Amino acid sequence: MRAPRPLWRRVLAYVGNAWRLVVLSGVRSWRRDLSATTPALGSMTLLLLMTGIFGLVGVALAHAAIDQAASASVLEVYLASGASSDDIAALQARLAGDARVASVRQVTPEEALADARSRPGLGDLADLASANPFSGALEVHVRLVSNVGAVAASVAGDPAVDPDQPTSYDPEAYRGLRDLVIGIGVVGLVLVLLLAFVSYAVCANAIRGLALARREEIALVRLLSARKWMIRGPFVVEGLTTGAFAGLAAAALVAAVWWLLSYAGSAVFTSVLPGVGLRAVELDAAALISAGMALGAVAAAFGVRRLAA
Amino acid sequence: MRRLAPAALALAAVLLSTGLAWADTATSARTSPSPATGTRQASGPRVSPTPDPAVTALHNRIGADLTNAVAQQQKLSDAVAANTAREGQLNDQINAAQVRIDQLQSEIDQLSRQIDDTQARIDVEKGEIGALARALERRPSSLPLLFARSRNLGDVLRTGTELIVAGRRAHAMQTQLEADLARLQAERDARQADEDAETALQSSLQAQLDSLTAELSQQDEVSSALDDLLVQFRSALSNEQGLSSADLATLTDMLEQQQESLNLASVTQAWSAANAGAGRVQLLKAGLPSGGPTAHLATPIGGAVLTQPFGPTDLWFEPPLGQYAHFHTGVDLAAPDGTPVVAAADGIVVAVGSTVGGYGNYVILAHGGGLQTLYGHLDRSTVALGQYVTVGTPIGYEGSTGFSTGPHLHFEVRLNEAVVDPALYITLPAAA
Repeated sequence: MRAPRPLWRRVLAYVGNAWRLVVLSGVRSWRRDLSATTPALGSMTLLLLMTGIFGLVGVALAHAAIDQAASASVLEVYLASGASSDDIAALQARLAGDARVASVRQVTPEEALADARSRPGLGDLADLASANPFSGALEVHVRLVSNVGAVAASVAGDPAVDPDQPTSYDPEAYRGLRDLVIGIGVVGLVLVLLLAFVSYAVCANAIRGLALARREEIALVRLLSARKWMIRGPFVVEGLTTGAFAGLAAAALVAAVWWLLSYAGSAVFTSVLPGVGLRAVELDAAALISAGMALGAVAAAFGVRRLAA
Repeated sequence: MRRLAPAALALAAVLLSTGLAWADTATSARTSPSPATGTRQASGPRVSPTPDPAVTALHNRIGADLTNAVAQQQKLSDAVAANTAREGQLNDQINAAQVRIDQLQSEIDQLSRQIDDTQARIDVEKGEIGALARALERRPSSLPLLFARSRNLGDVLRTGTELIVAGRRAHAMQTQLEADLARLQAERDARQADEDAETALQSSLQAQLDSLTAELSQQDEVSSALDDLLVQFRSALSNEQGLSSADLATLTDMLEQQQESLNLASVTQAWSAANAGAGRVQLLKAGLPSGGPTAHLATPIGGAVLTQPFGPTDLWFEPPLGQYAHFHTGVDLAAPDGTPVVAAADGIVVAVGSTVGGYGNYVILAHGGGLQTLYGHLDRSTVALGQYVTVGTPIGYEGSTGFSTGPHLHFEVRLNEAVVDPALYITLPAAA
């Protein structure tokens, strides 16, 4: 009787067989069955694209909501372009003396211009004007959010205040933003769930179809005492590869959409996705690729479960 | 001026036919004639071995001076001809340069108007862009915040549409403004190029005018020399009491031709000076009066009578014009000596000068549109080159300088350098 082989030899043989029979076989199968898995690749790409976009929109909405919440007690009092320094000083003194006001800070035209430069395209537009077009503002911190409206009403008609647009006060803005977040969140969630189900079904069916087409091969392998994971493994690798490519495609499309939206922001002088930078897009892309691989692997594993059994 | 040469040749023929010897040594043009003593030395070959006694006597009395004077006259004639040609060339160059300067100035004016228009449009556009930037700055900074202000889906759509419309308008204004700024820069560059060209041309013109001034100065010297020569001839003639009538007629004819040539040289000199003066006035950007030729001029002297009208004449000392051998190019208005002479119309003094023969002390005014008036034989002038005068402004006093037989004003009108009848512009007084 021969002595048993060393453990490391057995582990090496096990890993080698697994690599050859599962990974390489799965990749070869994916390449061979590419036409059959294309619908699954497409639906997964669409799902991941939608998910990625909703993810970026979610980040933007969250940023806007935080920003809005943070400035809930801040009132911008816009100064008239021809306001004299005496009028401005008088208004500032009056607001500072108001018991409802915590602090007042004058935003100079230069600061307003610097702030405008952070908005897409607005700095270039302002540079074309003959002089700094911004007249500045008073940044008023109100002690209680409930008093912001009253303070805004108190400055109306002041000679230092812009008569056309006196303040930034909009009582419905926060509620509108919250409604927007909820609305988009619900719609996004429903869409993503729907697409996730569709993608899972399409991917699982595609893998199952492939497995059925190879059922004689599977039966033969099973007769050769192959274990279940050896039978399911190549299909899982095939699904994982499909998901990875779907994730890559979706990530690329999301990056393109982000770039287009940034360009669109310059066109309308408004940030379309506030708070969404390149870092957020990179994270979103990584999440999409991971999600695609997970979705493909899970769908494949469940798709061939019965056949493997 | 060129008529001096035939005069010299005529005299030479007379002298040669009578056997006079030529002296080939020329003395200075300003050499004063010596009294006829009959002891003049003459050198060179004798042409005729049998001189006429009367002519010999003439030679003995005036020989050396006259011989020298005739030789000098020939040289002066050549110099005058060369100067005249050179003056003509310079005047042509000056006129061409002035035409080009006028064109450049016109282009500069047009570009300046375009620049003003573009600048005004840019100012308006910048104001609009400033207002738009102010409105955009006060709008919510992000799309979610903008949509959050919408009350319903219709508001969202409306807000989105407004956003796009405002953005497109802003970009259109931005593009327009940038195009206008580029156009403005191009127009400024073009104007600068024109101004540089004009400056260069003015420098060239200045050089040409300086050259012309030098030529005129030289011409003046030559004219003085000719005048000296005339004195020599007159002196010789006055000393020839014993000349035959034929010789006297020859000498008289020669002297008349000499005087006529001198008058013509004076006229040429005066109008060349006027051209140079007009160029200088143009250079100084004083500008000539605008508008075309004045329809009516004021009578330049009061209480005068017409002593000689405009037109062809038989007077030997008047210069030739066209097909006429002698032509009076102006009108002579005689008034008591010292009567003030006034400007016939608004204008700029383009020449103040004096010639030995011809006009004597004269003033030339330019009135714009190519119209110029000359006031000659003045006792003295009271205006300076480049001075702006209005109609009726005294410019001098009547006199009898130059080739004149008595106090009178020679009033002459030229349109685009061509002689015109003053009667077309002024009401002439009655003839004496």
